[in-house]
Amino acid sequence: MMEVKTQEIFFTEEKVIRTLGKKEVDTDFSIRNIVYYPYMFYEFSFKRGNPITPLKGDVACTIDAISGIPALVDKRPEFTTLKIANKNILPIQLEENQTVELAKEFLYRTISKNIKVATAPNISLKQCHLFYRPYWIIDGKANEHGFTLMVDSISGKYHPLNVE
Amino acid sequence: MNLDTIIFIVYMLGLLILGISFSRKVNDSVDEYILGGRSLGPAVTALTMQSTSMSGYMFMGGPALAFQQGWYAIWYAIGDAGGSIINLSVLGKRMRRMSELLGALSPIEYLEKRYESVSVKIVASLISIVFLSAYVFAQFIAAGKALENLTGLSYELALILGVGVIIAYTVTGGYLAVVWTDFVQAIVMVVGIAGITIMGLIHIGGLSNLNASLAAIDPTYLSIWGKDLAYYGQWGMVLGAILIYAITYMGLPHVVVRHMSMKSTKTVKGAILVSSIWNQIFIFAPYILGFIGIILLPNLADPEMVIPILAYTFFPGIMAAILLSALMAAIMSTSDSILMQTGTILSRDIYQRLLNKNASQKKVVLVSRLCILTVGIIGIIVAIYQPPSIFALVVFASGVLGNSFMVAYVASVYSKTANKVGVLCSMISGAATNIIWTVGALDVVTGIHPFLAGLIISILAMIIGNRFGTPPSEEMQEIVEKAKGPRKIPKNIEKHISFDLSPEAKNITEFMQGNMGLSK
Repeated sequence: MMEVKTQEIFFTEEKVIRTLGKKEVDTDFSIRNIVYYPYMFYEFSFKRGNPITPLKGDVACTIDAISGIPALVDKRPEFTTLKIANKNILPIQLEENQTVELAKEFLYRTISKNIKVATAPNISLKQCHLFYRPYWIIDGKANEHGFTLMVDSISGKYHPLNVE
Repeated sequence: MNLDTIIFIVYMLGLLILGISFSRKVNDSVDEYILGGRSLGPAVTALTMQSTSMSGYMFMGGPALAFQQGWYAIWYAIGDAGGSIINLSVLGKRMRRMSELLGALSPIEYLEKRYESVSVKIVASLISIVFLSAYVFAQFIAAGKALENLTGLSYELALILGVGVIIAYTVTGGYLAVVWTDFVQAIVMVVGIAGITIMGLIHIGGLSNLNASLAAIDPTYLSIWGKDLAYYGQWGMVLGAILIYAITYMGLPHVVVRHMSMKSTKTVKGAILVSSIWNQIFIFAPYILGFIGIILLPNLADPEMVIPILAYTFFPGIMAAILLSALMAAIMSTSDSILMQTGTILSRDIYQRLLNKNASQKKVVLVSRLCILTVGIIGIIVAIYQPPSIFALVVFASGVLGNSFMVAYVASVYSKTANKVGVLCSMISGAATNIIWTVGALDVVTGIHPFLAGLIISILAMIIGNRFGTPPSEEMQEIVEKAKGPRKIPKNIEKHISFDLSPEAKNITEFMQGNMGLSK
């Protein structure tokens, strides 16, 4: 067992099955498992001193701690601490110094593109957390054909898995 | 200073004030910029998307071709409107599965992963950047023409002024680009274009009378082969016209910025639907206006001025000037995003990755801005000394992008053994052939469209180059094989897959199969 920071599940087992079942009534869905996927959460403070158009605030992103893929976050997440069985936790594949560099690079790129600054703005790290996002593994069966989905337990978004 | 110039300045100042007041409202917060106005409703989002897609090409390039060639021009609109459908039905399914299996989020990342080569990514990025710049040049020319018309300045002066405004806005501004200003712009343009089209059709007596009048002037305007049957029997030209826009988008280096929702949110499907409907309508409107121009403006010297002159014909001068100001602002918002993308890719993917790995962020931003400035200066030189038509420039850029990427994408899913040497040869020779064919006007000598020539050469280069490269890894060959198989997932489930979760799906699959190493 491992004690990890995670997020509260919004799409519970029943809700996931019900939501998928509504989309495809002729398919049987069942929960196989839940896995916890590692992300680094980074929050930076941003400041532009331009007197005419000053701009300051916090910007945050996550870095997938396996692939290193960044994503912007829409609000500061609330974490809870849970004890999770090791077999349900995906192992981190990136070092922390790699992920922080990826986060900075991503934010500079995004700020540069979206805010259009003439010079590099000042950003400084405010906080960072390793957290694990829960994904449901769901089996579906329709007309003798089986398939497997992973469902984000926070947003309800899903994607098929290529497992037998 | 004439009235139109005053209207233009007032319009721009109005946008500036609107932009600043809204940015003050969000408490100087960066979130609204970074997240691109996610709190806005679907209608605002849809119209904002619409205003970005309405560029100088829609207002000047498309109508000019219709004015010169008649109904033949519709082939381009068909490719544009149906391009995504063709893509989805022919290549789409396999490519989508491959993307999932590779965990790739953007088209160029897809090529890099499929061909297991960073060189492929670099060559693809370079080709994309260069020919994206050609799109920007087309916008510059449109800006010069719009400003020339509005201010009465000479074309050269108007061009320098227009490009200067675009560059300054791109590197320092940002306030004009906030969604609310785009929203206002979209309304002005949509109402303007729809208004001119309706007025024009009423004036002519509807579509049937439009065709009858065209036939009376020259029956070949109604032909699918162009005026004077210039492209008679040349299916290669027609196919090229349709395919150009259908394929090009795959070569664009979409910078996919993922958003991770920290709580459950409703998606903005409504926005996409509204936007698609608008797109389908407005892809055809500029061409119809070109046809109306043939009848109403028979002595028009510059075909690219069809819409501005029709605007002055049907509306009071003030409204026409507002429409032209909106067009100028639309050109600015389209150009600045392409320029910004070009600068970012050149500075981060080329300069930082290849030339100066330890470059500071300040230096990278500076290089990005210098690249934008350089593209601007080259654009001005091209637009002043040898200004091609906006249509020719956009078709040229689209053609080269299509020739560079079409074979690479098709081979990626249909050939297990397609390797990096083959794809590099195909991309480079496809692009080079189209450039040589266009610059040397070889289509006149050979009767072969530059796009078709580029396509043939890129296929041959792929076949020959492939013999010299090492075959893809066994793992990659298995992935290609897997992507061919049908997916056994019910339709309604398949329809709502969130493809941005592909990297996670790939990793979870590996984890479940026991192929993932221990934690670092």
